[in-house]
Amino acid sequence: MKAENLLEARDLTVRFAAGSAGLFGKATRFSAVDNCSLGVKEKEVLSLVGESGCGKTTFGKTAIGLIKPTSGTVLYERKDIWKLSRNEYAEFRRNAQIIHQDPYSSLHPVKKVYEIVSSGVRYHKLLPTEQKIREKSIEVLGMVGLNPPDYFMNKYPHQLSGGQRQRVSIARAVILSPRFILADEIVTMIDVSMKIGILNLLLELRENLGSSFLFITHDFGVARYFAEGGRTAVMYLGNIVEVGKTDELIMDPLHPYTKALLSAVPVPDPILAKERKMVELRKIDPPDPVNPPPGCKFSDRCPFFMEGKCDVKLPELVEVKDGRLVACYLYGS
Amino acid sequence: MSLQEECPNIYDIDNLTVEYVLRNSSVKAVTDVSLDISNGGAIGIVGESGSGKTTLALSMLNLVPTPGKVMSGKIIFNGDKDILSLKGEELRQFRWKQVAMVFQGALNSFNPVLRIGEQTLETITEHESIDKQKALDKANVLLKLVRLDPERTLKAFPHELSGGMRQRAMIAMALLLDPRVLILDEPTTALDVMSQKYILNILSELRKRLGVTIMLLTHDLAICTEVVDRVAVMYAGRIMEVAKTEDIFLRPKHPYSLGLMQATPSVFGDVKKRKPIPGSPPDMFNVPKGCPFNPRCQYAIDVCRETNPALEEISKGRLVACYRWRDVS
Amino acid sequence: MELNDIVSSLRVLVENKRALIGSLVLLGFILMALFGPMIFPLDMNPKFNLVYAPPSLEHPLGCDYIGLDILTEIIWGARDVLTIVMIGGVITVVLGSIVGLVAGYFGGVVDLLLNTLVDIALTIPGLPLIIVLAGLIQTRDPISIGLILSANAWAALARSMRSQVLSIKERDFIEASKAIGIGRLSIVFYDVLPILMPFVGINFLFAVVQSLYASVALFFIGVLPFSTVHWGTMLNIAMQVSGAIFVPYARHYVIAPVIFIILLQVGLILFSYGVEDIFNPRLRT
Repeated sequence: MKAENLLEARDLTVRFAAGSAGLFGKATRFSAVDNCSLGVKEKEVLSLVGESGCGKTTFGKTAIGLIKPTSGTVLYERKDIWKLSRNEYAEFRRNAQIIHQDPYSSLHPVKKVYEIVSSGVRYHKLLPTEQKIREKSIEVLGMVGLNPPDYFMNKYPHQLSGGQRQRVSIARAVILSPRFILADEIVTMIDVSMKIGILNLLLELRENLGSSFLFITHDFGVARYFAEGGRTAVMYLGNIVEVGKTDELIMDPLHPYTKALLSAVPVPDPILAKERKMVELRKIDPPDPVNPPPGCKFSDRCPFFMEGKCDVKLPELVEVKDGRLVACYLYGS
Repeated sequence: MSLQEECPNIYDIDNLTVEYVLRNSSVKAVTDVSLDISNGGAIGIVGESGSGKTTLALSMLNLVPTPGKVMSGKIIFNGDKDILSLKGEELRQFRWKQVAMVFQGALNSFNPVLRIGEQTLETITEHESIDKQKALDKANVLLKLVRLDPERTLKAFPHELSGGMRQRAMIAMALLLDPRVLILDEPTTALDVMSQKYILNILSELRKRLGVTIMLLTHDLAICTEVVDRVAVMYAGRIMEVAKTEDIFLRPKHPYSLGLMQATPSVFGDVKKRKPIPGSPPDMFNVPKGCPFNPRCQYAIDVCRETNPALEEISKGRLVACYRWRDVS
Repeated sequence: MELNDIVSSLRVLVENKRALIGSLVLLGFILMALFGPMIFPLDMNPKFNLVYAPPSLEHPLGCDYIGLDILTEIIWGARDVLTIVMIGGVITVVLGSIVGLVAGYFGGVVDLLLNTLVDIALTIPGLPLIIVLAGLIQTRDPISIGLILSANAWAALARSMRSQVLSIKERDFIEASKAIGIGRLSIVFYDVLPILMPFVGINFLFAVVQSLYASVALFFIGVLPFSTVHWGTMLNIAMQVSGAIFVPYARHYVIAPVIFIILLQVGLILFSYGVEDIFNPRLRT
């Protein structure tokens, strides 16, 4: 990585207790995030793709300091975020924002849009008067396409549609002009006709604010649309298995899981669809995340499984060619 | 193994209108829907929230919950049975035996404290007078068809199976009594991409092996490239377009179908060509006058804002409800 | 709180029939307490010719053991009763809410300490506790009495508030506030508490009912120094001095305060049906 990373996760591991301890036993712990390293540069867009339960949301929230990692570090401008001084942490906190997946639970149900959007500015006293706060809020509501802003200011969340609520969520995140935004499956619960609209809005905001994005999704099509000029990382059961430039990764996936995933993605082209065959996996269903197979977690399903190698030790993420990292013994991990 | 009955259409739906009547208002969930489903065919119903597809499917089983009421229209099954007039025992026999439905989110509605076998197989054999052994044998066959280990699955508790496995178990159980039609409401929405692909493959196989007619409800146009050979696009309770799969994707004739195609981000194809559909889904309490899509339509002209276009057959098996279908490309 | 919000809250209240009746009843009691004594003077001189006079036009509820008009006594008593129970309710709810909110949101050591406190408070039986306290702290001051009444009533509320908070704090909008950098105390009082307002409101009314019965009990038993017109006191006198339940002609002396106690309780409970509606933003729009 030549340029410096704005936000970087190093050997990040987040373990949760799964199930109860029982009378005599220990509680089983499982690693939602297992030794992940990933960095995002200034103004960069990185899509993090994976199926549900792979740990991508946990990773994202840990990267912006909402979850404390079990081990490993998160560096903001090369400083450990859990060791910052009070002022440094306050600055980090303002610059790392989140947009949630579910528009029906990400807004305070008893507050008006104005209160919701301006809460950050008001709390940190970033503007001197109520009038200025009002003006800023109106400006931001306009930026996210909620026009006329005055109309939306006094609405309660339940009076808005899913897409509108998501825009309010976005407004709340960008009013502080953060340098880094975590977008967690933000269009997953939005109707098809409106997905692109929200993604375009985000791309526009990125142009205007210069923020970096960590964009989490399970939908490769959406990942590609958003991070077209950026990078994409693929996660499987807590591990990052492949990272690379979005278009290159999609055209030429290296990791067997990435290949399988891309072969299974539905494509709105009936002729192409007939030609595509899904990669044959040794096992259809994924393993229990609490009890993954030894070594590489994909080993029990991988068509390229090499006994004695893949089931012994977890492969490391190594650079295979320019900008492309893969964690697979096929590529000399 | 498909049975060719005299009647080519297993379902004939004519001008169906279903309304939900509330205290101070009412919502027309389905308005004037006419649709034929051919025996042994597979049709996909595509629609976003508020499109009415779930209500349509429920009416095909006469299962519309109160305060929903069928205001007009007919649903004829296999050329002779009027579904909407079935009652009591006849209706019970019809549901699950002739037509089975896998509801949305069904994979999450398993009772967590009962084993899968107890709550599916046993429930069915309790309620119907079927030979228990025969049912068990049938279940084993079906579970194997959906790539599940029958013994392990029937003995398992729901939480021991993944989402994909539960959904497949659901589908297998729905087919236990050899229904002629299987309706699935968003069967893959909550599932990961690979499970989704497996389930779609399995549905194709089931259709070939058992000759069952399949109706798939989804908001994701892309999955209609699998399994189904016809697609009906619904919007605000009405059918906008019906066509063969290939035609819908390559030559859509309704602006909404075209819009959906352009608004779906895909792994292939030109990213720059993606465009959102302006506006937002209709407020079902306040459906626009004329064609419900007109506020968002780039082809809208005055007549679109006044009168709703009827569903016309523009070529064999191809229907569109649009005044300007000729200009759509 | 803008004028708009107040007006729409009132409108919501009016639409809920039970709450409407409840609020009218409560309004009646409040007016009774505020203006009653001015309108109906209480002449403390005994009138031996009217002892235990049965209800009549001039004395709608009859007269007591020294010939004083019971209705007037009730009206005068309302002031004491309402003051004491309101204070008791407020203290219970404020204490219980703060403990519950802080324990639930902050977790860790704070939660552990507060939980221990709550557990101790809960194991002490309520009525005997306040009887002992009242006996020890002989007071006429309504605030002190209110404190005694809420001696361990706050603990149950703290416990249920805590569990409510535990589930609310996992919600996305709370996480968003954390991401914005809002401090924990601010989140607790400006994000979590507003969601719990219906819960707090209803519990306040129940706490008032609880205080009502507790105070009546204390005065009835005679542990607190007398103010002759408190309804509980009236019951005490009715029972001790007059043996009213045994003596048929003095029955109205016992029944009158009982009826008003029940009436107040009914008013409070009916009003509580509207509390949830008042705080529900969906109904306001």
